Amino acid sequence: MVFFNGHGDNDCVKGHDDEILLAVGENEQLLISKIVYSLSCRSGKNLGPKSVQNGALGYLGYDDDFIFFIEDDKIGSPLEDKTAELFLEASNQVMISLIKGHTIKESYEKSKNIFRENILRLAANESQDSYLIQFLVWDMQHQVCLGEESAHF
Amino acid sequence: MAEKENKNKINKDVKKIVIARLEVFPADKKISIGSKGEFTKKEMIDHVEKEDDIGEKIAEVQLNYLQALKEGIFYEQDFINNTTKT
Repeated sequence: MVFFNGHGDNDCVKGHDDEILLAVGENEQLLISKIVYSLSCRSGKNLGPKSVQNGALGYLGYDDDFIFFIEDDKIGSPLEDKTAELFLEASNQVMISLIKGHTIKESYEKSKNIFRENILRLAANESQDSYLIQFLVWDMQHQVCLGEESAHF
Repeated sequence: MAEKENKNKINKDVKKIVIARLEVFPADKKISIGSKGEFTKKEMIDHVEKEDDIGEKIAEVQLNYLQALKEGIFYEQDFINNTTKT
């Protein structure tokens, strides 16, 4: 199982200082027999499908930009950032579910359910943060689950 | 030259709606758009005004949501199931 958390693009995921870690046509074979979750922009567009085509068991990620909001005064204490939590709680659920042994499809659904719960919570009480809903919907709609749905750790 | 190329990437009426919606965003939050960076409310509005890549992305997200509303996203079975859970 492999988790990425960094920048990405249609054809790659990047690490420290934007160094390309994986790229289509170069080294996606490193993911053969792996279950992958990439919390990065766009890699679900090409890198994900190509990885699965080349033998990855499953690839979860996003096929467009992953967008979230942060609170300006919580940059030094991100765990207290309740705004970012609305997005990251849902995205992190993929990893939590995979580690617990759920299938990639179940992990994907559990993550989507948290996105929905957070969207509904903001919508239901006419929160002043309801402007965030459109961005949660965006991330939820662009999360992808590729490969063998029953694959698990 | 680059600015000229950016002209009219966002429909004039759409741009007005997007900016009006951004105006109600709080000033103490920042948006993070992948490798494009983090932006304040004012910076978001500036990018939409300039119709650059970031402005286009912000407009795209808003239009996507308005389209999803039109298509009844909150009436989809998955949302209804979530509602009944709470």
